[in-house]
Amino acid sequence: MTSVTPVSALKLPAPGAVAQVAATELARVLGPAQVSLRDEDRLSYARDMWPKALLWIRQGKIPPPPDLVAWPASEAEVAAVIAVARAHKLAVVPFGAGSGVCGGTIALRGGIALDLKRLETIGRVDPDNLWVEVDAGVIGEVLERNLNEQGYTLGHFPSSIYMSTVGGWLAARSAGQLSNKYGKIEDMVLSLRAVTGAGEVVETPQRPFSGPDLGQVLLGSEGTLCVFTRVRLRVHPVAQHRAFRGMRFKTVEAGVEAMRLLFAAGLRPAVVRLYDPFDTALVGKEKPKKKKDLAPSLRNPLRADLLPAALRKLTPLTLGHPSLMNRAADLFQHCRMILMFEGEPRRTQEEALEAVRLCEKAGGHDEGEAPGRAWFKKRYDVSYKMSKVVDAGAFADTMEVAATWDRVLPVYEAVREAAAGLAFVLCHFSHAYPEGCSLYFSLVSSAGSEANQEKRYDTLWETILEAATGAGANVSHHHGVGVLKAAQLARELGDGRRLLLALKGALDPDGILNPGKLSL
Amino acid sequence: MSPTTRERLAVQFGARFAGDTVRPSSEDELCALLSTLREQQGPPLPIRIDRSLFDSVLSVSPRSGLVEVGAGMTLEAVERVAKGHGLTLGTLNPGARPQRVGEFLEGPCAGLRAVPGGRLEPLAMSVRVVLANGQVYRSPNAPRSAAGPGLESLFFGGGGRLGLIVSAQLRCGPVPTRTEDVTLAFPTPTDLVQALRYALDDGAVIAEAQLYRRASAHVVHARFAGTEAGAVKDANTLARRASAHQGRLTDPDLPSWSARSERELAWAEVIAALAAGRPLRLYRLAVETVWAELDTAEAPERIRPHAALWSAVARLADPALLLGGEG
Repeated sequence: MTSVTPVSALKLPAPGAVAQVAATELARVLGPAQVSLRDEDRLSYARDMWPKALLWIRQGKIPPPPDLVAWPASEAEVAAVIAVARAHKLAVVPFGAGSGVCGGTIALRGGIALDLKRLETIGRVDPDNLWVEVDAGVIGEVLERNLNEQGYTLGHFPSSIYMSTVGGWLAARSAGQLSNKYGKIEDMVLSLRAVTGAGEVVETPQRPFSGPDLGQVLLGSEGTLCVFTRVRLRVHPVAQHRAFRGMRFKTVEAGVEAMRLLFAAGLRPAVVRLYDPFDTALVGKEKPKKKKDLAPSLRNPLRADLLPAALRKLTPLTLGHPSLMNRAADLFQHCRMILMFEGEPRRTQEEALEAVRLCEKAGGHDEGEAPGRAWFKKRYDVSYKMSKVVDAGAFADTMEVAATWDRVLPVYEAVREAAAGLAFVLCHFSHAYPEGCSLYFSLVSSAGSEANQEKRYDTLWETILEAATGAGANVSHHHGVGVLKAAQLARELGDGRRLLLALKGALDPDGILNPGKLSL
Repeated sequence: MSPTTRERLAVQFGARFAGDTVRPSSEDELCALLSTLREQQGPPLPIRIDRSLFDSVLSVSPRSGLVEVGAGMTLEAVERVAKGHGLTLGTLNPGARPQRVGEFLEGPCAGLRAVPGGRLEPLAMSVRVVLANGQVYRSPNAPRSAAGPGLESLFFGGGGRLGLIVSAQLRCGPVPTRTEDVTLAFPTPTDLVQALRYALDDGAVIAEAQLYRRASAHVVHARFAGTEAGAVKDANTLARRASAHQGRLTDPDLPSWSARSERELAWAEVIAALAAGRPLRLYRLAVETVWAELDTAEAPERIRPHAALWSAVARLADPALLLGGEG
């Protein structure tokens, strides 16, 4: 039986003496209200959405907290914080909105949590050049709403859009649900500004220029090389038309082949998501069931106490036996593909029709518009369902990797096989390119005691990442590395780590920026 | 008396060491060459490393549209190999065709290509690079990665300063089955350029375009290449965007002119050239910039940003400053 420790009972180590001196200096620069040594603030910044940190919290363990939190409001103030941190050799952990799932903002060496959300200016769209300049602390949904009001879209819709910042997207090379058409965030960046660990402001130019593109080198650096402050991003006129489609395939192989054919034919659906059979059965439902509206007197005890208690008892019986669950999942066969095209009306309609023709050629069956529309309506829901799994005493996580088309199915099979005895596994294929796509595995497991849960979690990750990379996938497509995948990244980099260390030495000579991440 | 570095290179490479140029034929030989140069006392020898013998086809994956080749192969040769498998590198600017893969990726073009949506991406999905200390780096074998910084970008446009590309997996597409030409006239260069950029943003891929002035009109003759449906769809997309920018269909009447130089241009520079009555041929058309053939040899000065930073990175990655590169 899982017992949960109330947050108020957690005791934090006191901030270090050096940090207290630094806090006084920072208060002079930023204002006293923009610096905090309070436990409540430090605890809030001690973790992001890394599921392992949730396991720690459930056990009453606190992830390493920062010594203090600072809220600068401008690039100059960011540089000032870096200067103070350098003077005191304090670590600086840039913090957006904390939606990362790999522990990228865990303050492994304490120091300063540098919250960038007060850098919140959104510029006017330049309609001649189709770009906008945005501060790093702007929340994704706020940016998109602002752009829509101006008649434009960024085309970047990560599941975390309500709780992630532009700077966080840059730091982790984020991808949105419409990346097939608009690209990942690294495809949208025209130029950027950042403060290095040496406290210098760098601005990368727009093409044309001569030499390597520093911007592409900094993207994905997860706060270890610089702190992003501002970026110029490509935007697009708001789509005038959307076309939806659902396609059913008898096998995963047929669905993957259809995806490949779409991209080889030059089509760029804004969305293409192929769910494996059990994922199709679980989340591919066309119409969500309406919840019975209970009387308030019945609703609270039932939903607040009885159901969670029942779930906590049931969970070990089901998720505690993943092999059984995975074998049961094999009974499901059909896969569903969701397609959405958007843009200029006539082109959008033509592309949707052509896509259906190609899918049918690959053995797909047209299920009409409804599945696509249903997905679109619920597209952000899944991310917020994880907490129910955690409440039930289990853990859930996701692994996203990418592979070329000839390695996609081997990676799918290898991960399913490797994880079979450790977690219940679902997968969907999305974020496609002419060369390959991303495989997004959802993993749910329960291992009895909290100590066993953590052990199971670590074993699961070691096993599945090894299986994925061994079968030809990379380490991450869009979640980044953080603490979770640091060892695997070091293996992937091999001798290239020398280059990463050279960059670190040049940009962050004191090693203060987000130490312990990216194997640095 | 120990042999000099030049004497050692002569023994190691025989006739493949001539003048100041060494032509290693394999990655092992390149590493051995760098090892010899590292042992050199005093300032590095001014040696030019010619990778033309790295000219093998390492793998072809028609399913993934990838051709992996040595850095010494010319793009023309790669295209011949690709075509044998039903693939193509796409339309290349004339100056790129005779270039070797390493030269194309490391040079001013930075090995970029245009993709649907008018974005730019590296032609190489992944690269294998020999570093100054003889170690080898292989970038992730995937279309996109979020596994840390994009280290491969250190080499694209990097002039070989931080490492030498020895092979690359190049992105190819299916050989087009149809081409479609459209000629449109506009009242101003700005209208013409905006129609092109918005069509690119819509997803049209323009293989190449010729821009010129005819009387008071500014004309674009655009070529589309793709599937039967794709080429027509892209041509229609441009025609629709043109009508929103006062463009109208017209007959082609291509002027004869000689291209004297190629370079990457911002669209504002394209507008300026058209306004001055100078014709251009455009390749690698993206919303951001374009690769242009011009009738002039005058090259605008391009900034080379972050020189001090690159120098610092180079000193840390290559303390002996062995790889002088091209700048």
